[in-house]
Amino acid sequence: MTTPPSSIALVTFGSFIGSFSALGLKAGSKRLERNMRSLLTNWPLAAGIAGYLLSSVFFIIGLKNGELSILFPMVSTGYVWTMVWSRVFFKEPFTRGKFLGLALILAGCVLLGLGTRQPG
Amino acid sequence: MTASYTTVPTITTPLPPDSVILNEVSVTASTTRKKRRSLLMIVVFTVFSAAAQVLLKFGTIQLKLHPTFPGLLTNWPLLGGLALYGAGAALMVIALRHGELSVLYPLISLSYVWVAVLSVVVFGEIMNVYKVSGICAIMAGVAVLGSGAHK
Repeated sequence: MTTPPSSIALVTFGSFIGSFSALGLKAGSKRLERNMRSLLTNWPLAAGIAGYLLSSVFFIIGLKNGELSILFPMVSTGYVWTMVWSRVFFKEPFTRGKFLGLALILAGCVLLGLGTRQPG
Repeated sequence: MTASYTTVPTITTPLPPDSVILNEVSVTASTTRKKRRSLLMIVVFTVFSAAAQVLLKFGTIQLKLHPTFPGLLTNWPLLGGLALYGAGAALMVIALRHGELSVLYPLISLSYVWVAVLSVVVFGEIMNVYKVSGICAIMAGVAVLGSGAHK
């Protein structure tokens, strides 16, 4: 079994949506209290969880025709987006370590992409 | 280590020195225990998330081109995978409360190892140099991101 580009596109799109969900969870965690009422009215938290479910739908559809060993690591492209959003919305600074991490993740995804076309 | 002391309730009445020391010792012991438990929880989380991926993949195999709603609700590997994923996420949130992010985050990338091994063993997927080096690069990237997250 090889992994078609459509599967890779679906999974990376899913992790793009998932990166927005992380924002919702982060915003929701700031107003977290230990009572049921506040949990149920915590709409950023609810939006975050809903976003994760939506992103897993894309992941599952993509997974149908592709290899798990390729598609699961590809979810890490979501970290790239998360970093951009945390810079934009929470003013978290870019650091050299973050750039290095990003470069490694992207290089890894390119290598995985090449790996799907190679025999064992 | 200094951050853990913020959880100690402030002592308003002056206490004799020896009881203060006793208090600090017991607090340090309980935070070490909590940290060790967080570490274990993260490792369990990686196993959960890898198992969840395998279940999801199993679920997609029996997924039809146009799935019906009852069909989806009886697709137990798919539902089990999602449930395991949720349980893992809850475990991670609890673990992150007590442990240091820079220690715990690199451990999260353990799940890539489990998934790589399981996809070869369970689904007979092929490994090659590109894939192995790609997975290693992503693991390193995730570890670097996590360890630099609080600087």
